[in-house]
Amino acid sequence: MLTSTARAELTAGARAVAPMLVGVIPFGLVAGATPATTGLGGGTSIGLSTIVFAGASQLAAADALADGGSALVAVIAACTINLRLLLYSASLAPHLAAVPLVFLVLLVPAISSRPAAVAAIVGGLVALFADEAGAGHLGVLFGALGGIAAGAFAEAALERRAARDDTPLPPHPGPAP
Amino acid sequence: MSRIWVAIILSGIGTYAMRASFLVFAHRLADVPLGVQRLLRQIPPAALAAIVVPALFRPEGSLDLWQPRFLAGVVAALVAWKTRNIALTLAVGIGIVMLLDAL
Repeated sequence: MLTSTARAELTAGARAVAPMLVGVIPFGLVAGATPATTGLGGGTSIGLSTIVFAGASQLAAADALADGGSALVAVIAACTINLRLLLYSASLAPHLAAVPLVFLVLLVPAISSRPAAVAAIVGGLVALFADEAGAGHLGVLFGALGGIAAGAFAEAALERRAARDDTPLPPHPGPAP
Repeated sequence: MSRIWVAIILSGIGTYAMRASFLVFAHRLADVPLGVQRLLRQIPPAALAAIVVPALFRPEGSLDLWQPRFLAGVVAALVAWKTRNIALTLAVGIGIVMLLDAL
């Protein structure tokens, strides 16, 4: 039996996530259909979707396997893409929540302050340049790390400025003439 | 065991380990230094932007701003910012891509 608080949280979570399904369901279909249509078979689709359970990396692993690559190549491709999960894990650890699916629509609500905006802008630009420079699957990780550093720097700078502004001014010498 | 199942199981173990990495230590996070908390706060916007920006700016693998995805992304971002409504944002974004693709 769920307590009423748990049920309320469950309902709130389901309601918050529901719109994401519009994006998740087609992506899930693609992740399931790709191995099946590249000759790897439906068993591979089910194996990747249940055991790996991370869309983009499933596509990369299926690509590598369908091209005749070794198991090692497929594992490296999948795990490189999933390095970003380390970051999600770190950011979610304080909340102990499950790993979320990531879509564009989450980006804007996530920008709730100026440092977050700095993190998003720098993260996006670094990822873009990393992709242009041929960083491949690592582009997302480079972008995220660049954005994190920039956002933290911006936040620290804002705090320093706020602290300086709050410092009481030296006593006024007296009424102006 | 076949090459395919070795790849699936090892990828699954690696992926699970990366997801679990920090959550395993979550119970010790009550007294995380402020500087680390500050870094953690930057992760969602930075990681999301790192995924989204290349997808909008170079969907075909080269920088291109005159294409439906970029235009739809800009409009969807505006809708999200003004309304904070995820369903509406999705509908507008998908609708623009479909409309421009159909033209």
